[in-house]
Amino acid sequence: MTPELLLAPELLPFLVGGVLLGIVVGAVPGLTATLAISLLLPLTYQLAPLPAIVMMTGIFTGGIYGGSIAAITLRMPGAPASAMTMLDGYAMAQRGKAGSAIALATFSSFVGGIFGGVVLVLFAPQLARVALTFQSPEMFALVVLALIAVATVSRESLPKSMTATVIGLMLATVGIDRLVPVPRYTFASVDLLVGVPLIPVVIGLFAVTELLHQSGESGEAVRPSEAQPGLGAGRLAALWSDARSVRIGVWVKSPIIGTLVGALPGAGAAMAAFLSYSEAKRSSAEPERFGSGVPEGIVAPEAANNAMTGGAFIPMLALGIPGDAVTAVILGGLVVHGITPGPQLFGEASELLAQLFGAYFWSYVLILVFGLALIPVFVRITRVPRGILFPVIGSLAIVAAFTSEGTTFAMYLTAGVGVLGFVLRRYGYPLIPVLLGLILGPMLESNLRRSLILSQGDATVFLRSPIAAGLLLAAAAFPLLMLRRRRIDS
Amino acid sequence: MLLLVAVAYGLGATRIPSQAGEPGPGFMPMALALLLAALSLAIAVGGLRRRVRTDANGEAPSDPPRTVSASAGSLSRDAAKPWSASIATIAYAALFQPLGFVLSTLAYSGYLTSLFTEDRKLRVSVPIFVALALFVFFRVALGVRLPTGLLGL
Repeated sequence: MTPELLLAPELLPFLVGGVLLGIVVGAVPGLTATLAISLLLPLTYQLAPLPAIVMMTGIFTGGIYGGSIAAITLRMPGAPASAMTMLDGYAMAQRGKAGSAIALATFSSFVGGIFGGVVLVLFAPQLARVALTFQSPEMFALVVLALIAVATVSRESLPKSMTATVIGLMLATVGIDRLVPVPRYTFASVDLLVGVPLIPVVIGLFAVTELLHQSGESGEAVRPSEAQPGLGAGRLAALWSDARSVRIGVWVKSPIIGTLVGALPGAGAAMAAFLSYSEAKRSSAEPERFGSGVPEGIVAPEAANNAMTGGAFIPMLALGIPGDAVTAVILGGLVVHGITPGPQLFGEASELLAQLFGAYFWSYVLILVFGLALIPVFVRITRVPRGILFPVIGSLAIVAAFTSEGTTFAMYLTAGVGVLGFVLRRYGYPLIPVLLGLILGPMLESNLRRSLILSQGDATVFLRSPIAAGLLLAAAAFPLLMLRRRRIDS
Repeated sequence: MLLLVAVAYGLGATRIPSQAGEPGPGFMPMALALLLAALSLAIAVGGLRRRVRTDANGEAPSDPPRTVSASAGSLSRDAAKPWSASIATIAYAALFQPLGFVLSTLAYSGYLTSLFTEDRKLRVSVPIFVALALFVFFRVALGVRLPTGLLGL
């Protein structure tokens, strides 16, 4: 790391503002870092390029981290990438350990983010070239692996988990086909022509479903009080103890998975978190404890989705290809400010890059500081009486759905998906595979069809590529390994 | 139920125009319909086998755990609440434009408050707080255009 990576002091207020804004929008279900940057972009026209880029970086990293807070305290992921954190984070909160869960999520976000940043600084051009070797067959195989891994590691039965995945994939087929301009399952609705929007579904699937579920429960949930409610030596000691209970393999593998997934254009933070959680559970000696509030269930997705932020910058800066929706908006911001990403950027704009990298690293330092300092505030959310909490959440969720799309159709969709989620949950179907199916469905279908079209219908195209064949082999082995493990355990 | 969904979805897939010689827009939906049908059968068979095993062992079928309430009346009231909350959520979406943000949010959050608490003070104060706080957050802070409706706010 060069001394230039130290951020210029005059840029610090922009970074602090960006990180705090990112944490807030990330924590509110329905508001995402993409939305915050999109809303902020016109304001940055008044700023010089550097402050604008620094602020967008802060929103991006803060937004990814912030999503975990509502997932842990309310069982409502602030962003799709936090859905896996919800499983063990909320379970810990129910045991009166919300503060510990948030501390662990904060620390693993910091570790993952710094790792992703180091890879970004040292290997961006090389990794970007490797990422380009992922063509349609490889991307298809990677998506298959992610879908099967998540369905397999769910606590619910395999057929029910697979059914939930298929429901998500079915939702993803709605709208105009991506390869041929033909509408599918739109029922003559203009709103459905562009497909089922993601944010209203996330809100419906988790916030509205939880609201409906809770409305059928009577009385306040009794949670043991937090042993260490505030920030102090005790909190840090507890964090250190939790962090040490996590296998070193999880600390190492999760950021690597996150960075690699981030470097692949289109994969995104959610896939990083899903894959990392699945791998942590697969490799665990006690996979049945996942979902009951184990620290590894928080570290794996959080370290991965924050490492993804560094990874996502790699194709954007080195090749001008955004890794996900947020970096696509940031790319737009860079171009607006006269900066053209691409291989030449690393030679020409070294000062700008140094400040960008500096902003990235410092944003994670700020996340660590703010995240730990604000734990008492976050924990208080879990103590709010239901008579206040759920009217706030219900109204906020539906209005956020309206805001995300600007149509009342999004509100109907959120309500409908909420009812669907409630019914599925009641009959023992997991909800996370539904979300994953919706997110990855377009990638799965377009890469499958593109591969088959280019190979003139030859399905062996997936076996001729060593990477694709390896990933498909892993996808086939995943359920077999988990079933064998379950049989041995029982 | 799942099988019905699979059949309906599959019928929809047959209506999507296809292209000769390559996987067209109907390829994935048809594959998913078949997969869903197979999974729904697997779930049904699994359920039947469990029931047969339970009957053979002479055990009582296990019901999903329920919240224990004071009486059967309150249990059925609690069971109906998610459905009434669902209807209220759909009604909120329907009334959002005609009534406007403030009035519809007051009504919806008021109904939700009544579902979760008996406290009269909360039943009055929470809806007002929710409507005001969300108005300030979305309209004033984020500059989102919310429907003004009857009040013109």
